[in-house]
Amino acid sequence: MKASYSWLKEYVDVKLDPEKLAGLLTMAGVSVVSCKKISGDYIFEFEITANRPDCLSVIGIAREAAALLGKKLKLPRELTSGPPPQINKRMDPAGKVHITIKDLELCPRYTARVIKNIEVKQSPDWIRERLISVGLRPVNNVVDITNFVLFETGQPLHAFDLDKLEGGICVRRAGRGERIITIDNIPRTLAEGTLVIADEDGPVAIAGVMGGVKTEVTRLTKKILLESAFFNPVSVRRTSRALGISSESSYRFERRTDNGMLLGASRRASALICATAGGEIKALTDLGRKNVHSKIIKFDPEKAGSVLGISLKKSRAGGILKSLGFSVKDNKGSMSVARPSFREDIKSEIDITEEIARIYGYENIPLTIPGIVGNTKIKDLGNILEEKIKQTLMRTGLDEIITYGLIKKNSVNGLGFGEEEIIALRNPLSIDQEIMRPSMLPGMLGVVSYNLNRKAKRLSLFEAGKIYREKNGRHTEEPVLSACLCGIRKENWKDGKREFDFFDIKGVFERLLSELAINGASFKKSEIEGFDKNAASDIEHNGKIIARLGEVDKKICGSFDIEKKVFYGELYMKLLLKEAKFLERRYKPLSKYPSVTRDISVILDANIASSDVIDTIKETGRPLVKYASLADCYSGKQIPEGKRGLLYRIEYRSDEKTLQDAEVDRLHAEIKSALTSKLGISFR
Amino acid sequence: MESADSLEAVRIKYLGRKGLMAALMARLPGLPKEEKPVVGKEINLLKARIQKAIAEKKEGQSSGPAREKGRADVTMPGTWPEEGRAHPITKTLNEINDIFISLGFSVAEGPEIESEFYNFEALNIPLEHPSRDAFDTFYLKDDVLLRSHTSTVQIRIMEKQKPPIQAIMPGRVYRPDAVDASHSFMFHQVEGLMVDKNIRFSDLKGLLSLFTKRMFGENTKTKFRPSFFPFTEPSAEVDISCIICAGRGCRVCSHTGWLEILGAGMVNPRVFEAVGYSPRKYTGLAFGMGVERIAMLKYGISDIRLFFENDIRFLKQF
Repeated sequence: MKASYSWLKEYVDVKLDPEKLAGLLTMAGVSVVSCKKISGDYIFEFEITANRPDCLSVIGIAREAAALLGKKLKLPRELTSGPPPQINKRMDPAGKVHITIKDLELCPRYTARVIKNIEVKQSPDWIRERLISVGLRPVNNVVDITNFVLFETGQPLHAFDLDKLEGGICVRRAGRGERIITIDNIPRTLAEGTLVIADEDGPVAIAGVMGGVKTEVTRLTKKILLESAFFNPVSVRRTSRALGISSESSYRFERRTDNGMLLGASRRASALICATAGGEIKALTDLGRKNVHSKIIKFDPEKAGSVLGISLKKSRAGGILKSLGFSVKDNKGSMSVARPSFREDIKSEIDITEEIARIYGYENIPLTIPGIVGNTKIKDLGNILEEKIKQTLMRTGLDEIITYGLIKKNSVNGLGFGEEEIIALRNPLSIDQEIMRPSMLPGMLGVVSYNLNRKAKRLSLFEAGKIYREKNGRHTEEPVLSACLCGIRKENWKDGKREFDFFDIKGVFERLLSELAINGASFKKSEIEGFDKNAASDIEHNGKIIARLGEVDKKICGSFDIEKKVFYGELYMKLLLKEAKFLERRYKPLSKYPSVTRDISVILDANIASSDVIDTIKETGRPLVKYASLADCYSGKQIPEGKRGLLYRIEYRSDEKTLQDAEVDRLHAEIKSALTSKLGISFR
Repeated sequence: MESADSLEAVRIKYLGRKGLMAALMARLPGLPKEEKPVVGKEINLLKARIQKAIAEKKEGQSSGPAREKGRADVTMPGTWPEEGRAHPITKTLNEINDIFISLGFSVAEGPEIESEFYNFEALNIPLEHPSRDAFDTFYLKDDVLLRSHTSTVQIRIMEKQKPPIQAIMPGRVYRPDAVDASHSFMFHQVEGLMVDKNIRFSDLKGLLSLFTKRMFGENTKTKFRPSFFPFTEPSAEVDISCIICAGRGCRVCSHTGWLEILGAGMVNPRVFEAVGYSPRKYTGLAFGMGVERIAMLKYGISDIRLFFENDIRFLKQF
């Protein structure tokens, strides 16, 4: 919405510098987004919020300025009182057009005036200048005046060439397949039920949105029918959206026009048309609901003051409301406030409080600090867990990424998701964002690919986010942690260079389990879709898969243009909520007795898992074996083909005494024989 | 004994599992009882000396180029321990959260997939009203959508809990905006809500002024402008003095000296009605902010897409 400074001054006596006026209006909620000096005048551009259609007119803005400056609003005579002198009260019944409203819900009120013997020509300069100042193109005097009055009052008007109307007109819903060529010369087929103005031959205008070419006012027009009506805001909005037309009229109708301005605007336009086109007003038809009924709202200034944090006197409140066009009656304690017809957005006491606040000035309301209400819980366990995981991964050297929750549909190909699990958008912006991610992997691979293309050498990344799947008709969202390693693990002049491998991603997850104090989880070799079948593992805990990890399938990597090996894993955070005991960590007394370390060097068949060796050692050595781990792994001349040489380190300690060598020797020998009997292991 | 290999050979000869020292130790059990501790101790001392000598030799040769006769060339680069970094959005979000947590707020979350009731109706945004224009939304199916703001979580909290409430609600939101330097179809918001008896508009002003000073520096000025949000009344846009030019006017603030940073207001009594609170008994304040916008201002980032491209050269800067 635009308005010029000089136009505003027609209705309110402002002397304030235009920039200052702009600031004043903005701080009262009538936001001025720009104020430009153009040929001696200033053009304000406003951003009017959806609740304030009354400010979609120059008079509406002038009214705000008047209220803020304590001035009186000056309105053209035709807008405030009866018909202008040149209108003959006893109108020519012969000139009357037959009008019917078929749908009072969509068109509660319709008025039309017949003006005859007009001369359509260029508008006088002052009208042309006004229109140009607000960004409109002058057309001819009749059309210009309807636009002028629309901007002046906010009431959209439409003029039909009466000679081109066949018979009377009817305000009705369009039937199936009805067509109209609108004044932008586009033929349009209307949706059934669209509100139209129609003559005997069919629609001549789309109500409140745009007129038709057939009855357009041209240089040849001699007689017009001037429409001023109230159309249902929702109906106009639907039509405007369905047709993709947003006009100055539809914009105002869908925000609700002022029923109280409807006749005034018609009178004002008629008077201006007669004055510039020399016509005579012949007949008026006014159909539908004519009463503008006012709403009375009870308002308690003291309560309003306490909501705002100010002390508000009744007289101050009354003064502000009157300046905005409200009428106020003082009762004991509270006030009765009647809203003006142009403020149908005011529906309850809080709406009035807001009116007071914005004129009182937000800047005049003090600053106070509210008391703390006493939350006993700051965060959910889920948030705490996620933070702990993020912290652990960052300490482990992984960088956090954040990717979109919406991804390309074919980016999940090969990951084993069924069509029925995938949640698709009904109105995607592009195919790149058409489904909600059922896995964090595509987003991660996208980032890996992006960085490899930019010559990144080392990628160690994680993301904490949600995955979305449809299960039994329900949409689920589940928090997941993903981690990924690709490229060079370490490279410097001192340590040389090594690439990431499976055991690096496994180490990341082992550390996570340890930090979260998830005890007893086991890594199971598994075949997982999307992973290389020789290097994939599920992490099981209490019978549930809490995480999975491995080397990403080369084909999948290939579809992201990645040639390098990618090691990836994801942790299902929801399953860990009850399992993670890191919040329950307790101090364990340090042992007073020394430990003894012994190694076992074994030759292992390929089909025996290293973890079986460790389990057997721990089981057999209980309770003195405090720690057993793989210390070295070698192959070479001494190791038979297909076997591995592994070195295990065992730490023996008693909590009660210093262990004697003999005791350790005995236990160590027992462990060895258990390894042989249970796993058939031989020693080096 | 110049090379590491020959040093290792010496180590194996003396200290190896079948080395000379082990052989000595093996003979210990054969000695008379009173000699055992003395000889044992001697053997151990000898072993320690050999170990020390080998270690010293090793020190001298292993980091060859770095050292010359035990002296480091301190101009050679240090080897950095690997470290990971938080995404700038997470860092900004944590900063915002921590400020409000210090002011007594708790943190709550809600679903991203929502119904029209939570995204619109309960927040007093009627169907087919122009006020919905600001909330274009991705739909999954009828009445199932991706939340276009975190205000949905206000409703969820109030449904679950009676006042008093003092919570912030961070999360992802989605809007069908074409992606460019300042628009993204997905971004993060932090919503705030405080409901009790006698919460005032002046509290909202005080609280948010305090927040902006802690977030952007203590000289930050705050301006509250009347605005319109269906779910708050009175409503305000909150501007801060430009953190780039300190209010003098620059490109970032479009030469106005001010940056729009928050939307806020008093909870509309109709929202209380929707969740079954008595509007006569309670008042509330609510606010919301875009995390990307704040991070962009704070770090001087001019393109929102950088956050989601995750170029590690970008990520390593924060």
